[in-house]
Amino acid sequence: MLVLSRREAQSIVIGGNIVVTVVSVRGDQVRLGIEAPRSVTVHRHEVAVAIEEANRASLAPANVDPSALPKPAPGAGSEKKAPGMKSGDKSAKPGDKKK
Amino acid sequence: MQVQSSRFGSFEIEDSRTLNFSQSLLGFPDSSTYVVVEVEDTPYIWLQSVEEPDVAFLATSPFLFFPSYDLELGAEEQATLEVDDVSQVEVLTLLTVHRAGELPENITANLLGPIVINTESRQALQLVLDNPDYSTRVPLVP
Repeated sequence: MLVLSRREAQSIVIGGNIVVTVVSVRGDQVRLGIEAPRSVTVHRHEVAVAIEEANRASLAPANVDPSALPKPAPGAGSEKKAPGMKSGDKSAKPGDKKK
Repeated sequence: MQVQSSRFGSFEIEDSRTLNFSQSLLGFPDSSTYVVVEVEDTPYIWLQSVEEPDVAFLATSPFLFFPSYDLELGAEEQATLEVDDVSQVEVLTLLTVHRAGELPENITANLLGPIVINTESRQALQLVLDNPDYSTRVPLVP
């Protein structure tokens, strides 16, 4: 592993188009800022591992019969509810986002 | 397009009905194209990989079972999905059947990593939410 020492506000560049900046250091916590192309996903490692494990677990066994699985409670929710859109998207209408 | 699957055998589907993941599901780097196989009279669907016949996931709309489920699409995710209106978006949650034969208690939904689909462009993406209220294993039936 390559190990570099950096101070607050200093950065490293990876592959010419990814910049990781040390935003702040407080006690044992380091805040990092990451600028990367959209095609590069950035996740906290433990979260990415959890999602990967969950995906592998979801690989359905051959004997699962969906018609034997539970139905949603009547009137519990609507399939069509749309997710919220973050600011900058003008087409997201008021009321689309719940909070 | 002809799709080979170990679950459904070989079947034909229009190319326009496939889902394209520009970033493959974590743990499944060899599959970037899936087809949706609906299960009649149930809220469930199969996501069948086109590239890997053995890869199929059971999924449903999270809002059917978790009415207060909430997620937000960031600007970059909207761009990846080519979304310009919320009406184009559909959300799925992957299910895990922990032990067949002990239904329904052992089914969990991955609310932390929902699949978001643009039903027009057919682009799809697994989000990784940053929400401590959700986990990858939420029982489908409380």
